[in-house]
Amino acid sequence: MFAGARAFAANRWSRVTFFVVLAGSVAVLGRAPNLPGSLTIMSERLHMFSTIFQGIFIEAVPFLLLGTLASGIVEVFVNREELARYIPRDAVRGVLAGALLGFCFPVCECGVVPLARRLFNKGMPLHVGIAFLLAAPALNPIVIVSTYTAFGFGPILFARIGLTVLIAVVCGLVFSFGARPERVLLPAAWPVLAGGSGSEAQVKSAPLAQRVGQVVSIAADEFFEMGSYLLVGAALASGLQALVPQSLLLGLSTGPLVSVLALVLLAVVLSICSTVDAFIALAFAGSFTTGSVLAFLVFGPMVDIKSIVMYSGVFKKRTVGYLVILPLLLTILAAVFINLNLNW
Amino acid sequence: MTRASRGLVMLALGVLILQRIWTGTLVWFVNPRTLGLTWMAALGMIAMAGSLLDVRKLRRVPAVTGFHDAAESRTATESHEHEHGHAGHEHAAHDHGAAGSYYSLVVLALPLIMALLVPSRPLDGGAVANKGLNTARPLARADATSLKRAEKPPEQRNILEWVRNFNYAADAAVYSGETADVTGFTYFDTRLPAGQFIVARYSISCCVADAMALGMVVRSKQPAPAGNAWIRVRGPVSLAKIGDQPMPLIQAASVETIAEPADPYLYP
Repeated sequence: MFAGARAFAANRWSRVTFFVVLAGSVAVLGRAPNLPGSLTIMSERLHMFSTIFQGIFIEAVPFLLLGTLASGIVEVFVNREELARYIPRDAVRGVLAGALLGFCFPVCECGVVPLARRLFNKGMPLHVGIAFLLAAPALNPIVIVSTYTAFGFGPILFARIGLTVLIAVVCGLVFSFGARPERVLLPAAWPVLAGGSGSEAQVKSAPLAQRVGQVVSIAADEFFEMGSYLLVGAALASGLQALVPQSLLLGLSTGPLVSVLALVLLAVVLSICSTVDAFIALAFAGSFTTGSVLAFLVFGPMVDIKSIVMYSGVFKKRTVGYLVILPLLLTILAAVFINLNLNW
Repeated sequence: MTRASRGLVMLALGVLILQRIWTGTLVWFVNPRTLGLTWMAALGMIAMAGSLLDVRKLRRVPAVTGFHDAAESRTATESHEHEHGHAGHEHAAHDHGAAGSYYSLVVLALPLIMALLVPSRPLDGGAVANKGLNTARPLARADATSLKRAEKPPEQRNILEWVRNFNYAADAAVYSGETADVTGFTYFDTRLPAGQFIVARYSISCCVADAMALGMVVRSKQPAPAGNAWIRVRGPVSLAKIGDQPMPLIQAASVETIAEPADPYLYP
């Protein structure tokens, strides 16, 4: 995604002029006291964008930091052989293990992406990693507690867990049929060939202080890389929130299919952290169909604007497409089925 | 160069968050429930920046071109780092211009740039039109504790608690006649008849991205204050409707303009 940007960066003067003009107009819109009518609306939108953008940043940055640190720790302290030993050999048990791995790594969608990429580096099979990536944001202790707090011990809680596992497992299995890491992943996520670098043995013997230093250094690298994906996603999400009226979507609360599509779209646009989305969903529970609320809770943690942008730092474009479309279709199918056949 | 500038950006981000905590403007962006995590993130970033800006390590970095862009050659960077910290490397074959790392720096600096260019302020009435006034029910967790908390004396309930009570009551009419004393900002909903407006607050679960506007209808004999003004409304409550949705209505005995509260949001 940096290709266009790189061409742009090649021309120093166009680059400098662009940023100066952009910054100038943003500053004027943000500060000028008495703007004419249409500019007032633009200024209002700009403030809304700025506030939401910084809100998402402040909310997400602890989780991004935790995710990158976890990734650094995995890189320095876990070796391939150990990892391989814990992963079941056959595909079905492998994806199940991947889907349930979130219980060991309580990360939301901002933290799961760097960690998953590191696990791919360490030779985690593709299907296991994909099941982990899709399930972990919704299937970890923090999210289960918040869902329980919001909806109590009932069908929504169990259906959220069940559907998340189901969709993650199905998507994982799809990738277990002959998909090769080199065709699916970007080079940055390719497994390092065993013995290829020969560096791991050295690391193992390094003193602890030095290894901690390495963890921090790797985490810092990752923070900038994954952070830039996260912030591009946050900017898109806040831009959409500032420009597209949500009241349009909130009006589509009935209809077995339309309501599901509306809340799925809202989940993508809002890009809220999976640790609190249950409380947001609760606000829709009274007026929207049960299936659509479930779709919000199941699809939101797997795919939203920030995670799509972050996925594009790990997977090739076509794979990112599959990772959006497969869960989307499965979620819609399950949600519409629930709306039509079950009376919760 | 990359290492030092990354360290500086991280340091500035950490300081920006600390400054928000210090000046109390953090609550304009996130639910204060996340304060602990935010502290951790700010200090973590500053510590990480400290390690990136470590003078001893910086000096060891030779001034060669093509310092690794993490986005382009992760594995190479790491294997190299394993071997010898951050000293020079021999992966010059990898093609990675400075553009990638330059852009990740600029993107990570965006929160700083926005904070500098656009004066911060909380989400206000101007955003309600886009966010939509939430009239759906129920509005918060359904557990017993929060319901009990909502059973405060009527004068002490805030807008969130009023709306929640109305949503959970089997018959909202039981609240008719109680006296409300709430603060919020004014919002003019086109569905309301003339002489009525809404006193609204945002409810924030996690951060402003999930802000939801809630409100009570106000009927006042005085001329309505300007849109997006902070007001305190007192008066008896009855039942109104916007569309099909029942909403609490305040027959205002008094409407006074007030200063914006330090914490403009409510938390479910």
